[in-house]
Amino acid sequence: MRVIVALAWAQVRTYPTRFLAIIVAVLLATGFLVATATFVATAGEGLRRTAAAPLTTADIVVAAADSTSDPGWYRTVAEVPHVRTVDPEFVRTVGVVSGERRGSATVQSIAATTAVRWFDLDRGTWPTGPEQVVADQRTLDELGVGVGERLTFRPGDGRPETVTVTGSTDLGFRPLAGASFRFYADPAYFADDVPHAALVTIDDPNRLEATVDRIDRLLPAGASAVRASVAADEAAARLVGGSTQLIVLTLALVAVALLAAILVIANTFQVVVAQRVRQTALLRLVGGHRSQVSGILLAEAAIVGTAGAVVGAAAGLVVGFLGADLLGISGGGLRVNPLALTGSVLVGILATLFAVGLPTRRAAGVAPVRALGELPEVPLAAARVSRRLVAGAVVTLGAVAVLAVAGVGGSLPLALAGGLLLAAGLLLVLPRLIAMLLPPIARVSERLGVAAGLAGSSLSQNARRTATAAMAVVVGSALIACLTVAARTGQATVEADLAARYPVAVSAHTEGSPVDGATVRALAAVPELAAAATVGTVNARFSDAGKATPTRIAALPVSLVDRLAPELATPTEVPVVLVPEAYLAARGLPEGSPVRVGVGDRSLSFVARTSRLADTTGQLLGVASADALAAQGVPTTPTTIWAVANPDFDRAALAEQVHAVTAGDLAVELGGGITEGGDLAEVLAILLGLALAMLGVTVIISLLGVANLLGLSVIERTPELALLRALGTRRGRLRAMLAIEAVTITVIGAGTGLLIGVPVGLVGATAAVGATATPVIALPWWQLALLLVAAVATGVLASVVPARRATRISPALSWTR
Amino acid sequence: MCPAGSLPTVGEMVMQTASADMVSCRDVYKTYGAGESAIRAVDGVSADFAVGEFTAIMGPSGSGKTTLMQLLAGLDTPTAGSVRVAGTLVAGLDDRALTDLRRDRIGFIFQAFNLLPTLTARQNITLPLRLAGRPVDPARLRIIVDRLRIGDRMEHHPTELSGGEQQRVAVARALLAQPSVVFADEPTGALDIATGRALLADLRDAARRYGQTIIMVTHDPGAAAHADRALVMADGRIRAELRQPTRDTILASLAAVTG
Repeated sequence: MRVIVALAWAQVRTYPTRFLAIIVAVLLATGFLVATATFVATAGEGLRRTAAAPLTTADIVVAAADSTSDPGWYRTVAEVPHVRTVDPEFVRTVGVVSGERRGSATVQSIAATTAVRWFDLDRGTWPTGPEQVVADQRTLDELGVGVGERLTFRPGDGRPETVTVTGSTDLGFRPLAGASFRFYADPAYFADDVPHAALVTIDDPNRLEATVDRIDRLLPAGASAVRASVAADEAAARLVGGSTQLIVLTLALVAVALLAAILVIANTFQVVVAQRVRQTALLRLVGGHRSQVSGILLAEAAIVGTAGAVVGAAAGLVVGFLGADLLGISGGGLRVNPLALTGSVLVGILATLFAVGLPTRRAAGVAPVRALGELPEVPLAAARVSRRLVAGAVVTLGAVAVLAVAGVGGSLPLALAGGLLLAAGLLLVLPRLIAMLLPPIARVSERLGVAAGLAGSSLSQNARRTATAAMAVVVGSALIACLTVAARTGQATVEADLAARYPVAVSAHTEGSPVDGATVRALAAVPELAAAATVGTVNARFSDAGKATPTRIAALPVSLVDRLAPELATPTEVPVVLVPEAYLAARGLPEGSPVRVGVGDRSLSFVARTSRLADTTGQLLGVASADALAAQGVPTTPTTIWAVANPDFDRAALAEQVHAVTAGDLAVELGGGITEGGDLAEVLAILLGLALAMLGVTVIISLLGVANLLGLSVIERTPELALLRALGTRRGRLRAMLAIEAVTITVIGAGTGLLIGVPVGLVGATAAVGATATPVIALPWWQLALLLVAAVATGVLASVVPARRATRISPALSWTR
Repeated sequence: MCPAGSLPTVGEMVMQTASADMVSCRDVYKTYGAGESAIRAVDGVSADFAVGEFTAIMGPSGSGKTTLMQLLAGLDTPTAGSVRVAGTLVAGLDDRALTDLRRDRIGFIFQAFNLLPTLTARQNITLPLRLAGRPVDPARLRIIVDRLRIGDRMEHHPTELSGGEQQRVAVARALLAQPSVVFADEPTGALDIATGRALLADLRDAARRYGQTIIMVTHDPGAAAHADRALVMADGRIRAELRQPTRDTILASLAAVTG
């Protein structure tokens, strides 16, 4: 055993650069894993503190019953013995408008009892009346306001109110998603709201359990009291639970990076084994058993794997913590699960040992007689290879069938299963197919000049090795192609769906006063909008149908009728009014039913038809044509602006422009398509960006594999390269030869990746949205083209270092052998 | 220098084997390829190599001498015929037993690349013993390396040694494990004449002192003259056997078989 480790150590110490690629590959994969684990643990603790913070100052949390409409439901709690203080908790969602931005904000109450307040102010004073608020510094920075300045709040159905920022605090965190602004106000701000909970403190900590019980018994049905610590844990669990999908996504990408690392490691060891055939034979000759030869390689793998994994784990710790810190969710300090850390290091080492499996078998098969001289290598048994090829082909075809079914049937789990199956099948088949592709490539390249010819023959001579290096590139590029295609198609589908569901892209409306002419002009000037027009509305009384009942009638001008409601274009005997689908449904009326609507002191007759126009613009409306209303002599006020967007508009850009031009007009509220779908698109964009960034690790690993392969082959071909130099080959030509080799590998890899990734991405996106919307197929041509360009560029890059080594070879070396 | 009594005597070595022949082969054939293109590298050879005997196998290129040596060492399997090493029939051994046989009974020295470049001279010499899990006798190691004049080169790597020193390290490795038989394939091929002669003298000295059987393949008559006997091969057959050969008798014999 000791001699095996000693021999392995001697190898690693003598040729450290040969193992560099392996160490870096393991380092990156393990680092990725540990960074994820560290980030999850650190961010989880940080988030837990964030979520639990408002509950940590109280002893008991009392939650209101859902049905309660009594603003004072919590007051009875104060009568329970040992209860010292009771503070109601309010929350409101409002629109917030500063001079620069508008957005939505959550306003929470600050407990009147100072001891129950869970944060301190860094600047300014606590709010003391309904017109005062405080906020965390980040919110203030983003809104561009300072302490002492004013803001406008716009409650969902109320008038705009001006509030003054009296103080700021640094909470040291920001919420991960749903990035709305947060404000804290005095309970007086919430006037007659029903508090959703109340925070209770008691005077005797020993009686906590008993007091919880007594409060619970006192409360009406539906309301409940729990210990604050329990409530804090529950709040934290709810918050952290939301990030599970993110963790799963990250772990999937970690697995991909590991796969690429395994391919690179296996290939590097393959080359290392090929380089020391004579050494291995000598070892066998002087009495080394096959198992000892395997043992040495495994020990080498263990040594370099451990080195890479340990360094990677340390780097991952730092990166993971910095990541959480950058997002401002490291409030709980660095957290590491020792089990996850040890596990990650073990995974790195095991991946290396797994990767060395095949090269080990090959090394152990070296005949001792080969120590006596150069003998041609006996080719591997063809039967075993072709059996693998058949198995891989069967799995691949099965996977294609599963994917086809998933795409047609719109089943995401089936698509995922098909994708995994396909990966397994392709891993078996693809290296052989690529290897088979190389001889024709070599023949073609011979016609393209000396350097290309040399490169081609070198690649096809080591076809297996070349194929494995290309495989690592395939893994990365297939996933990038798959993700970008799926994201683009998913986005196009969501866009098309939103455009169909929200015919009005932008709606701005007041509470009944005429809309500001400047706002109309500003909106009309937005380039993304095809048509914008003011719409007159008037208060109307529809027969009550609950929540779906419109309160106003809009008069659609001729300029918008054709685009939005062709059914209003031709005048009818009884005018048509468009109402929400839910309204007719709630009243149990069929399409085309006659309805009567009260306007002022009159009662008008209409034929009711359903339209999305009635309930997708932020107001519940009946919509009639302006001409029809004018004919009936109904006066309207221009309270609303509706605009239709150009086809293929950029939703995010439009939303930003519209928010910018309307920031000055406090009277209008925005609705329509731009206020919808933004969150989903944003989450998709964030996930895609995250996934692509993480795939960067895989790409780096695969390029490392290409560079390493070339580097080792330069060492191996030293006499050949020296001979080329001796025969008068210029350095530039050697450099070109290696660059062509590298680019061929990366382009084969990227091309194959595209061929696999694009259809799989389409199937994935179709399966994901197929059940809820009609899939719209869209390809990100630019990104895909960029992928190929990047393959060429990175290939050249990967050949730089090996080429430098190759051109330093002295022509004289061709004589020594 | 040191009393030879601490090392096994010729008599003790003989007792280890069933017969006085350390290596023997009977009607050995080796054919490469099949049909029209078949090449008979070894064409019906029978020979015995006695304990403690230094035999040189001579012959021009392509005479089959290297193939015969590989068959005798169990590195290759004969198409027909049998080979015995230390009384054991080589044909019946699996890879494991064959490896053990090489490790415990056989030493190898060849033209070049005898040593693992990653190990020092000392590590190379002790490698077979360490692979076998056997202890290294430091006194014996000292004696061997001193006699081969490489005692001060022990911590050097092969690249830091001269060609002659590398070959003597290989000899030391072949002697330390006390193999019954040492196969040498052109051991002087990469050495200058003086160094080559000195190495052969060392080999013969070791054979006499420790009773080791030495089978050396060479095409150099000067090298073969150091052996106790020479077998001259041509076209896969043994054409002549010379006892106590000299350069002249060998050259004459070679001329006769190739003429």
